[in-house]
Amino acid sequence: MTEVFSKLYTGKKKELFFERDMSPDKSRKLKKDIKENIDGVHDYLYDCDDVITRDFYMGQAPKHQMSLIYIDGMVDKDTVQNDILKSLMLFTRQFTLEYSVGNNFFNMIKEGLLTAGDLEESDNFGEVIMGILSGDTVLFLDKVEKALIISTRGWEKRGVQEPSTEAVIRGPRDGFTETYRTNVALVRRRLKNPNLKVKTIKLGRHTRTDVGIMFIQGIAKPSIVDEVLKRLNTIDISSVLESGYIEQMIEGDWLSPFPQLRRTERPDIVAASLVEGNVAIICDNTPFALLAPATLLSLFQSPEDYYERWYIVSMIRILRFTAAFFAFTFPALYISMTAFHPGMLPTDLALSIAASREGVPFSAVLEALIMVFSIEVLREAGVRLPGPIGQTIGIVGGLVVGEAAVRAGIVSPIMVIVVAINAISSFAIPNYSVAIGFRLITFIFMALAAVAGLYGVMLGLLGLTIHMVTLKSFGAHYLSPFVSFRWSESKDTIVRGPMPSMEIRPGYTRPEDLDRINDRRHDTIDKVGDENADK
Amino acid sequence: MLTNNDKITVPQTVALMITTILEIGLLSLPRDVAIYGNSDGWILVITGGILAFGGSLILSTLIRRFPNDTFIEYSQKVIGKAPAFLLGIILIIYFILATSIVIRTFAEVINAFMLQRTPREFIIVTQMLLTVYLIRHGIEPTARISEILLPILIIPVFAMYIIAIPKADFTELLPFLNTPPKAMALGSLNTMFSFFGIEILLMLGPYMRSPRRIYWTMFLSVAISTMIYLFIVIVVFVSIGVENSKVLVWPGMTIIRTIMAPGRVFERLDAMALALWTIASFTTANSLFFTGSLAFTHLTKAREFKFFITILFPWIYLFATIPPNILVTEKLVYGVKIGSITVGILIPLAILILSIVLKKGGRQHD
Repeated sequence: MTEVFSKLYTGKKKELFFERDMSPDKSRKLKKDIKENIDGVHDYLYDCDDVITRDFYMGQAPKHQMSLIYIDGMVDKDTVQNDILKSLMLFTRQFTLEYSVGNNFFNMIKEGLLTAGDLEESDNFGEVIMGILSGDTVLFLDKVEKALIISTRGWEKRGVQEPSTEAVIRGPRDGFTETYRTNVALVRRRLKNPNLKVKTIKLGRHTRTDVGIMFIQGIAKPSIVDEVLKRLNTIDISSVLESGYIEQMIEGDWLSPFPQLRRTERPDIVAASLVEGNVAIICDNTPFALLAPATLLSLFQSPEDYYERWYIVSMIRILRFTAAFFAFTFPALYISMTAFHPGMLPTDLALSIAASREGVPFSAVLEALIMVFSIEVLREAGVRLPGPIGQTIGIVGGLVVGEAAVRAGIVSPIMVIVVAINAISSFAIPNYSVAIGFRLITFIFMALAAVAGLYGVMLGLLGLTIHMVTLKSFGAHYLSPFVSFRWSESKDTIVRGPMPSMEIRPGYTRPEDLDRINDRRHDTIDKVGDENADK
Repeated sequence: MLTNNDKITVPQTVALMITTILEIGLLSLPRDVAIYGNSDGWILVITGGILAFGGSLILSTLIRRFPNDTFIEYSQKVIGKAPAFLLGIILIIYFILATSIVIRTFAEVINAFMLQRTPREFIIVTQMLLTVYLIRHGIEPTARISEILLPILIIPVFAMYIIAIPKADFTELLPFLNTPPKAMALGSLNTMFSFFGIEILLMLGPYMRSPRRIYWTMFLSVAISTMIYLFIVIVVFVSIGVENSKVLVWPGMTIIRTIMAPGRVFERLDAMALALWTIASFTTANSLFFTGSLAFTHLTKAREFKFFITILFPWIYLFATIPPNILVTEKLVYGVKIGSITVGILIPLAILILSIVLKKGGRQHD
């Protein structure tokens, strides 16, 4: 270590010490001479033309140098010019010279001059460099061994918009943006609760991405929070560009086709989950937040499930689960019914299927495979293309190709119906990652059905059940609350009970505070009724 | 000695027991009770259930006396190491045979009703692989699977048989109480065989979270299984008649083939029935296979049970493929049922009496 330092200070060589996470060394202290400090910064940030160094002086006979360093485009120019430069260049002239040098002056600036809101004092290069790179402005003064890091972050960013992947009919329209602070604020605005804790760490050796863990103390189980923090701290990766990097690094079972964290771009979902005892991971540069632990049930939920009345929601949820079942079994059932057990269908249906398959040159398996494959291709093509063209693809693929394929006798019309229902079903699942997981296992089920008919499908279903039952997300059973079922939790499962009856929080997060609703509600309603009667 | 720290709760134990018990009896019990009791057959189900509960009381009492030991350990404490080792080997052989016969019967049914041309070995191997995939995860996931599959198994079974009721002829249940007591006794004993599976209790003691509530657990398990069996026997009797039940191999399956789902969704409910049959057989094979490898683990005092799954696998496969046809299989089923009485009731009874006489176990273990 000392060898490195000695080289750093004596030699001219640009040999610098970086910590393992690529951040500049924090133990390298600032010097008294401003020139050395500025050179020190440039030791790290040489060849970076977007770094701007603004030198200015105060006093007349002995001029005292001050210096601002920031990165163009990452700072808010208004703040730099009005709140920093103006104060320093104009107002400092009122002070006598003894105040304008050294620590006195530094404190004066820090405590009374700068009108910027958030500033920090630092005495080492590590924090200074990271500050500059994060969009802060650093102020150096001559004859002072400290620097001021003034928060001036402000860059071009997208405003808060309606999330495009999780649209709702009823519910708030704001979604997360790419800015970490905005996202945290969106959640904080919904939970004006001192127990809502936010812990920020930096991840990614090169990206130094801000990653925040949010939870509500007193509800979230500490062991889950610790587990999330522990897993996050074990990540040593060169870049974190999206929360997906984090998700894949901290999930328990990477062989599973199902996501083990719930991702969302809606702050209301994050707020609701935090109240249920989840831990949220919010990552800079992406609108997608992660929620842990996740259960299959939570991945099947949409925020509207709690905004609408319970009849409607219960019906929609039953619909979704039925759709999910068809999303991975329908082609397999078709294959096994036509190729293995035509006797199990009603005679008329079996006959009409047989009639429609007349002239089709392929076996049911191959037929299903062709159609499912083309639907997947259409889906992928439609996702990548811009809106209007995507729609065209849908029409061309769905109508023209489907119709033409039937006319040409390549596939049977019933096959088209089967595959269409299968595809539509999978998109009735609110969470895209789960939907894709189910579409993936469609192929496995088709293979099983092709080998062993209905018995194969049954094997697949049992295997899937085993996989899901043994899957855990941060200590929570993936199939919770269906495993180790408790009657009190039954009101928020495949059906959702009326809101007043949902008295406790879901148990999968093992929340410290189970009560969701107090019994007081009924008392107050009765009282209000009585008062009205008195009048 | 615990191979892992997983423990199962009371509802999980009940689910595990019920899903283990419900298997072969689902399809063949109506035939057995019809042969012994004619129209009184359904009473035999109740008396058989009571007998089975009596048998489970022996196992439960042993668990109460030795809450931290499995059969392997407490038999060593009571009768000494060498004889207990022999009993342990008998136990393992029994579990191997029971697992293989369960899987073989399953394959026979699938071959007969669903996949006529598929090689039986394929069905046996796939079913065994699925079982291995589950039981490698340990006792708690195995019990959890039972817990989650139990409603999926029971509710459709009831629904399907209820569909059959409108065409039922309840005079089939008459005459009432017309069977000589000797036939009743024999029949009850025979029905008790259909509750085979309770002997997994031999190995479950230390894995239960609350062994103190074992009597209640067993009462629930046997009572619910009896109710399900009773329901099925009555429905089979009233829909196809007692005489028909006597000659069919699997009357429970035949009646489903004759049912049509309302609205003609499916013309025959075979598909549903076979799906449920797969679940029933799978859960039974799971617990027997798991208990077998657990017994092996305890016998050798090994720490890891997964290894013994691999050891048992080829033997179970071998015994499942040996019977040349269904007649031999049925005989072997009967043999295993008798074995289950020996292993699950007679031997434990002897151990229990010895332990009381020799004053071993009991309080000092609490």
